[in-house]
Amino acid sequence: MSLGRWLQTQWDRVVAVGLVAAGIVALVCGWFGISHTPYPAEQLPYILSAGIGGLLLVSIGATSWLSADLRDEWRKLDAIDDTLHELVGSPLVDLDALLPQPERQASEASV
Amino acid sequence: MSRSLDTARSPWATQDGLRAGVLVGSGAAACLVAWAAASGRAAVADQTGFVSLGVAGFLVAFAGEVSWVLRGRRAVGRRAVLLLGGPPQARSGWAAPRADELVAGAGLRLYHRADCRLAGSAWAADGRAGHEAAGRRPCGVCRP
Repeated sequence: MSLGRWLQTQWDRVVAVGLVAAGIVALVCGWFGISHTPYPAEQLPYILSAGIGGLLLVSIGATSWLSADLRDEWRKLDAIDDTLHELVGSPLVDLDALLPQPERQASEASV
Repeated sequence: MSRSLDTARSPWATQDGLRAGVLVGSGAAACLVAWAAASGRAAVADQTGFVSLGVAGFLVAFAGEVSWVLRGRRAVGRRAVLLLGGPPQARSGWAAPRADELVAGAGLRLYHRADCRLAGSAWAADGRAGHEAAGRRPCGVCRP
């Protein structure tokens, strides 16, 4: 798979890694900024910008990664659903055993 | 081909995205405002309120992210149960003791229904009053 294709399919994980990396850089920059001034009034803006901002970036990145995992699971369920749908009506599948009554009726109506 | 159980293209509905976007956006905006306001002040006493605003903004944004992930997990779980079935049910081979006859072993402190799994097969039967007069208490499993 080419890099471009990989970036296209894994864009959410690329964004996640980028955000986490940016958050870590912000935290490190904030630490450097705070450590170079002895005055609390000059340190607090670093805590607000680099500290809280860095944590925010890391948390958004982690959320993006978890979202990517959930999308993967959703796509796998899509594939399973498609396969089951193709098997409906074949002698290999007993629809009564697969689905509860309300879903079975909805499925039969959609075929 | 149409799907039988769920036609959504993603685990999240539009309102889930809106909710998370509003929470994360407003939280991030609060952090920016707090930083901008605190940067222009020379006294720590004037900055502490903005630090609180920044922390509150972070918590609001974090709540939006948690809400997003939980909504997605719930949607994926619901669809997986629909497609693949729920978790295996506990085996229901165990029937609750129902016998009226109350038995107890000699020297033991509890009395049981005769069909309790904790009861011995050769234990002597007696009435509830007799067992309690002997200082025995009802079994917590068969609850005679």
